[in-house]
Amino acid sequence: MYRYVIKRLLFTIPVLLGVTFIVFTIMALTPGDPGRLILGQTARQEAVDQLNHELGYDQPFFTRFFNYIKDIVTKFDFGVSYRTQQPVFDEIWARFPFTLRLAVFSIIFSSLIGVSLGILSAVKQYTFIDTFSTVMAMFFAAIPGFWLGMMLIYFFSYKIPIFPTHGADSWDGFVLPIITLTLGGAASLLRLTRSTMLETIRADYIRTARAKGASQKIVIWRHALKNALLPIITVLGMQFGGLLGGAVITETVFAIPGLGMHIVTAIRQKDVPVVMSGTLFLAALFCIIMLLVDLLYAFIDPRIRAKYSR
Amino acid sequence: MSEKLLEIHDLEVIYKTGLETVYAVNKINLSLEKGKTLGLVGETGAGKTTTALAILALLPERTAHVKGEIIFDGQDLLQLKEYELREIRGEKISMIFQDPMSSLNPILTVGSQISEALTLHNDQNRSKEEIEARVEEVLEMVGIPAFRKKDYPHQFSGGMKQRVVIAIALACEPELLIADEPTTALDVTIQAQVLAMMNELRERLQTSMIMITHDLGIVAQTCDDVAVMYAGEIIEYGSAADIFTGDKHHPYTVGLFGSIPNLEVDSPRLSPIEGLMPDPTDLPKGCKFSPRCPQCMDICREVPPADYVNGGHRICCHLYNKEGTK
Repeated sequence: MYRYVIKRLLFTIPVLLGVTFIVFTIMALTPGDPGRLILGQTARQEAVDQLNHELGYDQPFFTRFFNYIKDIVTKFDFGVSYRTQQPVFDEIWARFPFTLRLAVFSIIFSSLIGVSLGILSAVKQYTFIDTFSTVMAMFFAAIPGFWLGMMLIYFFSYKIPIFPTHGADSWDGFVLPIITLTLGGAASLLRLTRSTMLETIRADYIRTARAKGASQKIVIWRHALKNALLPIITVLGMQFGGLLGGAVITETVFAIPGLGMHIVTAIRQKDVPVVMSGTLFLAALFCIIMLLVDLLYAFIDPRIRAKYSR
Repeated sequence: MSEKLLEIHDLEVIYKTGLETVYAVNKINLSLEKGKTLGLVGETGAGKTTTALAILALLPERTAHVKGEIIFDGQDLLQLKEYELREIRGEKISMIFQDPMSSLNPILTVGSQISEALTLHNDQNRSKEEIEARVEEVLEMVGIPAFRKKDYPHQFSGGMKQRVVIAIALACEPELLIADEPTTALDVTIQAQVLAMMNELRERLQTSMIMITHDLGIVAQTCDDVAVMYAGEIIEYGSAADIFTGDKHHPYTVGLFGSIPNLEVDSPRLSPIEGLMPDPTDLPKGCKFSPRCPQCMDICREVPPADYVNGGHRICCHLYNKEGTK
């Protein structure tokens, strides 16, 4: 098992290198240079060239790439933001808690709501509960996050002012964005849970359990749910990773200074070090989450456990 | 005549879905005495498994409509509430399922799958240790070393899995064991072992058994009584002697025996029963076998035949009825 974990951690190195290389290439292919960006449109060309030289931007592509990697590996130095002249890593680290808070809470709530309603509508297939939750799931999966966010602001900040429209200074500012992210995530989880549970309930071993005289409760919780959990956990992991990097729209609507918004701003201003390190950070997080998902697999399914220990 | 353990009267199972209505089991009558084995024989789709699942009330509630009476130990199982049925399932009636590969839960150890039945029906207030001891005992009984109880189903071969399935079914020493093609998924050498084991266990535990199979060889080895099913009906019923050596048979039974390859006669081709089982959504009006019957008469296509009774031997065919030509 430990060997598997170590192997997987080693595998993340080529993945992260690949991600870094691709993003680095894309950034290099887009027009514009940092000297011009920092000094502004009115600066003299000599000054711009001078600055580019100091930043090492006039060196060939591969030299720059290797220097970037070298600085990270040897000095844990992710570079300095062109725009703010602040160390990139500090900026990311300062914004990460906001994003993490959004992601953690919305993934917890959406899995609680989505998985439990999914089980319920699978067990009570074709009843009112099933139809109702399926329709609600389709509704919330279909409406875009920004619209839901704005509607929530309209009703709960403007019409009935309970929550602030924006801001991340206090806890109540997070309520509406978390609701926004939760509803969308819960909707897709509900549909997935329902379909995997339905499939599992029809399995032969469920019939064996019933033939033993097991009650519905035992059949669902002990026999069916654990087997249905694998695809659910995969999607949960991917949703969590997506939330960490991709809650941009929600962060924008509620003006929360999170990681996604930070990276999008950096892309717009061609702040290469920020974009690079932001992507690298998210990719590393994603790799770790996926590793955890795979370890959870092994915890649930002995067949996978057997494969890992080989 | 000894005491009847199970009596089925006019059992009817109809699957109704939005699209079609499937007549799976059509008014069958069966009875089984204590300690005896009844063979339920027939082609795939004859309604054998449906009958078995109806006894355990494990048919899908929403689509399957069950009518008739299933009297087990003086109680009509069809009238019982779900919680009363749970007391019977696994403890008094248990079932060995057809496909050992998919009948075990892949994420639970075989030991815990066996002990589950014991824990659910713990009338003797066994302690945890006693239950574990019983699990080991049952495993040894089916020929699996006790230390393997901590293993998962994927670590077992097909034959071993089937033994585990049998161990689960036998753990509570049921009064009635329904074995649904217990050897179909196994290769021939393992088949013989499993059958021998089941026979031995049945003799030791005095369990009654319903043996569902399409293999007449297995019937000959294990069964006291035989019911031949066709298109949801029992078309011939009698003791093993009646079926195997009697001189009067339903043409379908004759066909079944005819399709067994004979080693002693050099025949270039097998002799199957021509045609297919009728579509259960649209059964023939008269005798269900009439479209395939080599001895089909005019009356067979129009009127469903009544039983010809000779002692315990029942044949549902016009050939032997007074109205018939013979």
